[in-house]
Amino acid sequence: MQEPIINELTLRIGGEAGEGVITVAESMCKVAARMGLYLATFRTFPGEIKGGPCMMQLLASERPVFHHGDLADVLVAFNDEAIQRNFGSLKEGGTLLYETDIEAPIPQKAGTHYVPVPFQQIALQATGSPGSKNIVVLGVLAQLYGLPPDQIAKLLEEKFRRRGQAILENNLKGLEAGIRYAEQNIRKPDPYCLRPTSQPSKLLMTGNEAAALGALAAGLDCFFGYPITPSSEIMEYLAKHLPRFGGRFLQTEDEISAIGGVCGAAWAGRRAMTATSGPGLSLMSEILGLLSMTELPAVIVDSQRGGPSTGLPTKTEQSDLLLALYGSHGDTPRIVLAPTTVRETIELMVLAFDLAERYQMPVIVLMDQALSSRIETVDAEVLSHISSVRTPQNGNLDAEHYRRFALTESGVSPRVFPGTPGFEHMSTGLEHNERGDPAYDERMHTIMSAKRYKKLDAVGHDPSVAALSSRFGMEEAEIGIVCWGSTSGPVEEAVEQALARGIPVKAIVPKLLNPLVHSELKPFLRSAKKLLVPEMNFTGQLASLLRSTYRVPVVQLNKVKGVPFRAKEILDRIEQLAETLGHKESQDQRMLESVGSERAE
Amino acid sequence: MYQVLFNSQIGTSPQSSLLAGPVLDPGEYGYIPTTGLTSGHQGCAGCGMVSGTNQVLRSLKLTGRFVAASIGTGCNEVITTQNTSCWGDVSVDHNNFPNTASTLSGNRAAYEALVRAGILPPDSVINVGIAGDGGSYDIGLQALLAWIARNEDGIYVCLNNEAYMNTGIQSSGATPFGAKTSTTPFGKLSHGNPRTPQHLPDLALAAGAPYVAVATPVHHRDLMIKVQKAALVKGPCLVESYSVCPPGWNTETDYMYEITELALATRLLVLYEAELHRQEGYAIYTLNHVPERRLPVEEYFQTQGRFRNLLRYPELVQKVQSWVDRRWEFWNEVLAHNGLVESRVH
Repeated sequence: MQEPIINELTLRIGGEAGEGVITVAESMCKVAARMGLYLATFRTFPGEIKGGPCMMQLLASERPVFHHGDLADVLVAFNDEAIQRNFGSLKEGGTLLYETDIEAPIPQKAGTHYVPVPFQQIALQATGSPGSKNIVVLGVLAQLYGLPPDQIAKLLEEKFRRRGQAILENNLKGLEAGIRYAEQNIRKPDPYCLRPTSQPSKLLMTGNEAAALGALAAGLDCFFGYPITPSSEIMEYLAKHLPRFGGRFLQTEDEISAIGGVCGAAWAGRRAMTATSGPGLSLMSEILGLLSMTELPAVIVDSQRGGPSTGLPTKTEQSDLLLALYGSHGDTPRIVLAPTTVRETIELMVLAFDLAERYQMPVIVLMDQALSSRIETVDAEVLSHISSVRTPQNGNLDAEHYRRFALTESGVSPRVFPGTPGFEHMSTGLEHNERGDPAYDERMHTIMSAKRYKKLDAVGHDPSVAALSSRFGMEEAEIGIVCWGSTSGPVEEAVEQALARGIPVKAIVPKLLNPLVHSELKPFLRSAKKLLVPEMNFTGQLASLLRSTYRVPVVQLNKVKGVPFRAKEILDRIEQLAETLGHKESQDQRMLESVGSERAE
Repeated sequence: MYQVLFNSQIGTSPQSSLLAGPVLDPGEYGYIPTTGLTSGHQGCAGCGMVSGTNQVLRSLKLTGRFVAASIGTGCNEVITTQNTSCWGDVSVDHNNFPNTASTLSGNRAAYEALVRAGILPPDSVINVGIAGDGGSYDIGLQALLAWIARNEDGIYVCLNNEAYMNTGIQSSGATPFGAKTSTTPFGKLSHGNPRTPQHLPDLALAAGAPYVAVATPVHHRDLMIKVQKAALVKGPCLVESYSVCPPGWNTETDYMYEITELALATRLLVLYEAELHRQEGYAIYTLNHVPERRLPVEEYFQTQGRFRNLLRYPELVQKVQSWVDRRWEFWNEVLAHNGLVESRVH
């Protein structure tokens, strides 16, 4: 057996939904997290209710990872279709573990290690049922890639104990048979092997769980929601846990009511939120405007999916940016935040509640399906560092002269919650004067519009948003990349690979997308000769925002395949840009490039 | 308010004074010469919705008219439209979640315009709206009641599987009291769904629907006659089809018939229809089916994992039993008229 040398593994498992593909991958994640390794995953869901192809990829490593890896080192295929769909994602020289029974021809690629394993037969012999073949797969993988069998056995015990001794024993037999088979029959073909690290075990959570947890950490009082893929888990998590913290969970009859509820709770002075996806945010648009007008704090999580309309409900996309920024009639200031990792989602949720309260306006947190459903390791210590800054109501005011919408230097007016004697006031969607009484003469509308946008400007200078953006690469590079949300992971990896190839490149990932932090973005954009904006939408929404805000030419890289970018796709584009930089180019070419968008294959 | 009258006859009849055309009685196991859903649906084994949609389409086609369907987002839409459509010769207009009924309105208005223009003959198309309980009880209720209030021609079928199954079993306005869903968990602070379900057919009747009915795919003849009646009565008619959902209800997949019969025997489900004579100011309720046995609600709850936790709380089960008993009082008069003496539970 070859000596294992690399404590890192990108593993992809494909099969039919219901075959236990996800169980295998999730079990591996749990064990790896207990070994103190870092990991991130990506999974696809079939659009169907039951059946259909499904896949999960995980990258486990001793170094911090923020992305599910590029091409897989190892591909496990439960059936023929899984090979056809995923073979292209197997790295050159990778290992293909597949069910021996597959009759269709196996695609050939030089250097690939082919390891046929009779999973089904092993399962049948060991447990009497081919259904537990996924546990056999788990055993084989444990043996080949260094997962401690006792840890897996413990995990299975936790998972199956409640379903009876017989089921548990069957699974343990399957595990044992898989391990034994690999030990006796498979010569380990690759150098990847996971080993425990000296670090404590890590928490495992999905982006959705992180969003819910962040909200609880921020002291969420009320949640209103309506089921929608891929954000429903946030609601389900809070349905279970919010009441334990004294909060109120309400499922409403649609998204309009959900944000209506948030509006009411915010008016009464409580921290309230809702979570939805693009179609829901579209329905909420009108009340988003009401929140801007009545200057109430609210947090709205949008886990983006492929659109428009019902679109691709189970696939990822970043196409709600402009909706989040502008979606509502009239001039409606709101804050837009976009976390890039699961860990960051916790932190930005807390920040979202704090900013909403401090600046009295809605905050939209833009996630996407890939981030929502991805499992990532989070250091437990992150949770102990969380602190939320509450903005108290203004209690020491003179009731007689109280003006809810008083014009102040920062634009933020004193808030006194309803029910405080002497401070009764009107909160209305009509344009109003400082007292809150409807007044829509030309002067008042001008003054109040300016007041509301003054607050938004102030957000960009808030100390808590300074240094929120992340940066990778070389400061003096001529090629600059701007991206947002979960695209950050593949960009980080592409930048690393480009630097390793001697191509100077840098990247900035703003987490605050409205308002943009000019002091950070302007120098970055000006100092780059070529700007690349990779994003998962068709039209290039961040690109057009950068063009209109900063008047810079931007090269787009768009992908609307429902799956995240691969680092390779971004790297290829970086290499092309590096080549063009080698030549002297005319102004016209630059102009052309800025207008025409180029789309990734 | 409408005066509530009872039909003294128990059973399903193809006759009604409101009908604009003849209703074909397929008989209990009679030959039905029409096709419903074609092959290739991706519903789970034992799905009551697939069977329901299939029978609804077959019944509608018995009228000899072209069927145009406006379908809302949900399980039914997903499983019948993936890869290949199973709708055969039915035109399908798939909408968003809130607008099944309003798009149905648009479909009908366009059809009527085509008739006026002489392009299509009158009475040649049936406009049917098909949606789930989420799309009917919750987000689509406003559009549905407004469609009824506008008194437009058409039929609306609600396939009620009592929760949002497509997005992962979240509770809806139709979820039974005490049922466990992913948003109504069981624990110290929450005992499953705390709300009692609304009753859509009664809401529709109150809004002015001339014909409403509750059916189940298990009682074929009853469902087929009801759907044809709803299609042939002028005005906005509603049929609710009770749809067993094995993954959502946590049951075995070959249990649809038994579960439905238990729902009827415990009186949790009542097959009935009601006709509204709006001008005259009265509604006539007809009881279509009375199982011989009457059983306590536990018998039904025991068949489904979603009620497993509820069964640990006898006082909550008793609460449901008393609601069912009280509602059943409503039908006692009809039973008495037919010389049927209900044996009380317990």
